Amino acid sequence: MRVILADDASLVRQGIARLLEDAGFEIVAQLPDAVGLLSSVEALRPDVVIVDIRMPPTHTTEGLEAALDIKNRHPTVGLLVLSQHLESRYAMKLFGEGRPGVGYLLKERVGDLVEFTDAVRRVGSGGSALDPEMTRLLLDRRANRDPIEALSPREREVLGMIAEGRSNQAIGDRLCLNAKTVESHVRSIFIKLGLLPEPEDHRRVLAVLALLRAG
Amino acid sequence: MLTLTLALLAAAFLPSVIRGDHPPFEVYRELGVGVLFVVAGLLGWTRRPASGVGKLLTVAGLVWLLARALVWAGTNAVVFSAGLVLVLLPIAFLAHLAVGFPSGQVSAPFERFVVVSSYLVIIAGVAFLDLSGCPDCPRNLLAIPAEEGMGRWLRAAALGATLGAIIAFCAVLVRHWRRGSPAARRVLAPVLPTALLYAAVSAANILSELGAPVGLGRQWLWVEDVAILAVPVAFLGGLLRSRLARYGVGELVVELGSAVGGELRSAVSRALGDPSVEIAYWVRDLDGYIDADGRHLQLPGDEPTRAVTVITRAGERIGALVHDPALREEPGLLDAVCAAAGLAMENERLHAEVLARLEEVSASRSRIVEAADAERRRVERNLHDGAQQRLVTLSLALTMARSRLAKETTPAGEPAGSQVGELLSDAAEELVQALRELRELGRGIHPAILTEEGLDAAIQSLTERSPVPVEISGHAGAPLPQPVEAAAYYVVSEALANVVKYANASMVKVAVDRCERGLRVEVADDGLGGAVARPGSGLEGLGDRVAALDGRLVVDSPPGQGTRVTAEIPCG
Repeated sequence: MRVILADDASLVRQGIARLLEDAGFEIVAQLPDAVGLLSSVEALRPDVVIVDIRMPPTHTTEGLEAALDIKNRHPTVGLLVLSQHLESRYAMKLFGEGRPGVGYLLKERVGDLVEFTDAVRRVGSGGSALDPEMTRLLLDRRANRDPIEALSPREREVLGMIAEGRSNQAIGDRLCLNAKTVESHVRSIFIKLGLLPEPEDHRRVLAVLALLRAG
Repeated sequence: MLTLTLALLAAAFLPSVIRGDHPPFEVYRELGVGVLFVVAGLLGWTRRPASGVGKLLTVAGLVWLLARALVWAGTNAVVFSAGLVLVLLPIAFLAHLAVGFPSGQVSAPFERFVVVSSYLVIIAGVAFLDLSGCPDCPRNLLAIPAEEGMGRWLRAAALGATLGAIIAFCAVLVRHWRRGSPAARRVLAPVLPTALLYAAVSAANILSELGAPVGLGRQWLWVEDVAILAVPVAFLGGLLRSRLARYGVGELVVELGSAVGGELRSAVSRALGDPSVEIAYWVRDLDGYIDADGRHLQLPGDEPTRAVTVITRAGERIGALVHDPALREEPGLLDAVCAAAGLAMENERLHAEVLARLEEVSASRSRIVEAADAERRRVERNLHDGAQQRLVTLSLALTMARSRLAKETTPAGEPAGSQVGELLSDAAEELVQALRELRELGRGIHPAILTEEGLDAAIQSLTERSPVPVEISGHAGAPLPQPVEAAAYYVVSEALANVVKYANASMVKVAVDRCERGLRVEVADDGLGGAVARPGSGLEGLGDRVAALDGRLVVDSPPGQGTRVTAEIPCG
């Protein structure tokens, strides 16, 4: 998989690059800011762009804005946004109305080799990724008129994993459930969240949105 | 003065009243006019010692009475003639008074000329008095026989000069009125018509003496009486209309001396009859003036619309009045008000100085809060760009190490260093924890989302973290000044933290509204209540922060009825 990496912290950037290279990814470009990102994407046609949300010059959210710009012009390019802030608002902006191939991870997640490389791969192949801490925050969040309230504890757990971007197989492995049980949970979740029959992949993204928007 | 008046009254009127030489009406009229002059003069004198009007009026009254006393004294021609000189002299005094009214001073050359001419024509007029109505009177020693050629011409000249003086006098008065400021007109208003009426009556008499058919018939003689009686009343009225007389210096001192806060200005304004008056307090440290609220004040230069009178006390400048230039027409009033106000101003000035200091302190307080916020942002940024990045790098290094280690095998094909791997794994776990704590620490110091996405997003983010269900209503909308957003954010943050810690609430409502004054945030729970902003508590700190922005934090927490924390923060 071809990857472009944009982060102003050079040590972190190089570290991630080596880690991904070790894991078999091809790093086609490394950028210290978001300025040349779009042109690099257009020139190099990567599968995934990994971008830090906070970069020069304003050190606010230019990484996210550059990423959305890329996604709008090149919907097939996967986008993985790294952030040091656990803020659902950024994830919501990223997922928009249900964009496929996007992911929002806390930056420290790069230290979890399997989790991180899985997320890169998923995003690169049109799946999604949401940081587990984010899903936990969203599931723990309590508010009135929350459709999530209608889910059973087990279903919530499954929803969190769907939101993180995991496959039914992975969910089953994680929760020690057989594939059939997972499937029935997933179906029940989709029904309770009012997600109409749509392609499975899209429904999974919509489930992320349902979780992000609840509350 | 009263004794003197009474003595003159007795001397003048007792003999003639007893003797019955003159008709009672005439006696009482003359007596009334003289007494009116003296009373009005004395009143004016005591109320406005600085003005010459009171003195002149009193003297005119005394002269009037003295003249009658002399004229009616009896048979001595010298005494009688001296009395005659004085009989008409008060009329010259009146002309003098009217021209100099209300200050009593005549400074313009033409006006001086008019006044001097009045005295001269009046004295000269004694020579041509018609005494034919009083056959018993002693001889007028100063009389010039007017029947012959020379005398006739002299008489005509004297009458003509008198007429000229009257006309010039009227012109001066009318000019005073037309040029007069409102304050001057206020004082002149009663004097002008009576003086003009009297002048007109006198002019008519003179014209008739010169043979013109304009003399008043006998049936109109009362007009002359009314005119002369009205003159002292008019002067008195004028003086009473002068603010000072109406007020009295004593009352002024009492009222101004007890004025506190903004009352001084309104008291001075009432005393001066000038609603536009401003009080400026001199602050030596600032080398400038401030107003009662402690704001810097630039005094106008002397301009036609505003005048400045500096107030001193014990030789030191303590302030100034900025007022209607018309008040210059009443210098005595201004002086009295300045003197009386000086007392109160000393207090008021201290008050204003305290307010100025307070404003400084409040400005520095909000600067401190802003500086603290800037520092918080800086620390958060440093954490983000420094420690957090380093720890992430470290975590990457650990991951690399673990992954390399996992690939290595012993010559026997066993996984190498599995114990080291476990240690590295523990270290990585610790690191994840450290990063999480650091992230929340940074967030507590300053939430990046507040700067990046605004107050509404930041509050939403806060509520997501609350273990107690939160319902948000309203929104802050368009971006507000950073200190306002920060204060509102910390209010909600601290209040939510308190709900979780102490309230045992089942739900919280957060309301955010733009209000008239600025922003209003309210956090209300249904918990235990009984919360107080104890010294050193987060709530107290919040109160200070909100107060630094001129806002208000109210904690309403009756025991058992939940807690409602409301902050109203003006938007600058």
